[in-house]
Amino acid sequence: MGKIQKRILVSLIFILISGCSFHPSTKDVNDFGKTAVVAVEAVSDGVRLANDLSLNAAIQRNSCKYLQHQRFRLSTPPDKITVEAVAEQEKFLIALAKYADALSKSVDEESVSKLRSAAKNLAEAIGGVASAIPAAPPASAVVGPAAKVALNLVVNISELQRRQEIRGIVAGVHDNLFDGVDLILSDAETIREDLLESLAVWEREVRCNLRKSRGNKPVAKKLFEEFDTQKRAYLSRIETLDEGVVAMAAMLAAHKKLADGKGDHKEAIEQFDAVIADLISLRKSLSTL
Amino acid sequence: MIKNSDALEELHEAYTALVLTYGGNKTPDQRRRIRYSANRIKKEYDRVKRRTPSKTYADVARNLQSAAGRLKRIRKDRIKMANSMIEPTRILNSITGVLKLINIP
Repeated sequence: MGKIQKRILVSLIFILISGCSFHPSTKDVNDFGKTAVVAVEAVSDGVRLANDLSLNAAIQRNSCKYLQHQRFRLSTPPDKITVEAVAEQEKFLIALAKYADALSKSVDEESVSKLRSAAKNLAEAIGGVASAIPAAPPASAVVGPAAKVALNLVVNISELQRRQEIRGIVAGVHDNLFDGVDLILSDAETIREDLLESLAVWEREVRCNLRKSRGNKPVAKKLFEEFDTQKRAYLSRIETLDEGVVAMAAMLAAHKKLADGKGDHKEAIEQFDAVIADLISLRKSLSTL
Repeated sequence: MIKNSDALEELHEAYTALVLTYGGNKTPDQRRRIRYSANRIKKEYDRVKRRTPSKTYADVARNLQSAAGRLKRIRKDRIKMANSMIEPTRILNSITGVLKLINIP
């Protein structure tokens, strides 16, 4: 037996018995997806915070004008967001969320099991035709199971090929993701400073309101406590933004695992990749159903 | 001799391990040091890999979008294959029905 034939034979057996151990597995991808969701959510709070602060500062400014008997505006549009980096980040965060979603859908159980049941139905139909031919037994009894094996093989090979493609895409995009995480890290302090500055702008407007409302003590006290609580909340959100950077690092580590392949099975996967190329021709001839 | 691939593994590992410590109650100086070291490690990673990193979020987003597009095609391909088996199944089942009719003694 030639070298290639032997390789094909070995891998055919492997493929037949390994139908459910595709890599990346749905679980691994879902694990990564979770870290991506957490990271996107945590970092995008910077965007939300910048929006909140600019809107709230505008409202407070107008309410103070109102209290001072000046011209004021209701339904104030938010101030121009001065935290430029967060607006830029948003593009990356949206793309990351979409990528994680597409990745999880590319290995979703539903479409794989749809394919499996389509193959099973076809095999049964082939078996059905064979058994309905009265002249053919005992050979007809073998046709159904044989068709099942063959179609299983077709499905497994096609799925292995798809997972190989997915691994290629994941590995290809990894360094790019690394760039994104490094940008987030590099901008973390600038964003913190910009947000603290926006907070100071908001506080200036709030203080104006507090001064103007002193005439009515119960109202003034209530307002003071409200703003005090709100400032605490803003400050704690700014502090929490660092967790977003940490979550990005966790996401990157999870993605690295996907890009590398499962530790224990890495060698097997590499072997797989080598033989799949040989099998593409076989798949083509089999799948012209 | 250290292979490049090993060096890259180490650098990547060092980067994530370092940045994972960024949260909590770090002083501004501690944060600055982590950022500085991590950025240096990343530069070294890119140097060993001989790659030019994406400099803007927009560039990174573009690459992620194209990867997402390719992933969507893979899913479509799977569904297409499943659908391609439905029609022959239908035909074969009707043939079986006819055959069974013919065979009634």
